[in-house]
Amino acid sequence: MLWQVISLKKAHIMEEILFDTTLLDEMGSKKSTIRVLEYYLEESPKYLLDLDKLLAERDFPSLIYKSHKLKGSLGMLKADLLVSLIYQLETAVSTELNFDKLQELLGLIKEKLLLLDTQLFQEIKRIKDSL
Amino acid sequence: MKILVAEDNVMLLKTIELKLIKEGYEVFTTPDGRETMKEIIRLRPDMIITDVMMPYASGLEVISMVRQQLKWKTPIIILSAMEQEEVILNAFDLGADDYITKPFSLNELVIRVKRLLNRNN
Repeated sequence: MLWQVISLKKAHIMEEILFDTTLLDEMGSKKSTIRVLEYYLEESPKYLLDLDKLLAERDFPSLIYKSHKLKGSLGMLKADLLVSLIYQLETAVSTELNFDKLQELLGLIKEKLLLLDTQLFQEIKRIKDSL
Repeated sequence: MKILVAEDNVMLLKTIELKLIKEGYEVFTTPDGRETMKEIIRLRPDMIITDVMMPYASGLEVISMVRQQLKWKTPIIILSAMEQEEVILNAFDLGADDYITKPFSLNELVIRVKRLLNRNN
């Protein structure tokens, strides 16, 4: 598990685009895409706080539940790397419960989520500029 | 046509809502299972689209209420994750009509909605 995390960390450098709006574009309106991206960005900080809190409290069932919900949003953003990392977190919580590994994995997820937020803000600006 | 969408993930809920409104449906939304059960009775929707994992009551409990308690034939589509195969089977067993796995194509969802509504009319 750990080597997988490390190799993912090395493989996906900061410049990588972490999302793809193909699925959201099916709404057929750029304004709708912007609205949905904004909904995600409103929710994103709450997910970060919740995941941290639940891991610190060792509330693993709630951690799996929250991760699962976050994965739903990330899937619609086609944020495949993050979906894969969240899946690893869910698996690790369900099977290993090695706290250090969970913390390391969550740290990597948080780092990528913050990068995704930055990229989505840029995407919203790009779409707005094109309207 | 009234469609009730039950989903506790705000982004997903809004995505589905915006798409279905664009397609001309009257869309109502609920953020949890308990609210969904109340709104089903109040609105008597033409279709229900429900997530499985929701606070207070699951999508499976929602299906169970519609089919076993109310004895309604309202079409029901389940939203589920890829890894929830067993849940999907349970949902069909309880009376769900169709399912779609997340992440999903919104166009595919609309096709499934139209197909089910046509079948029931």
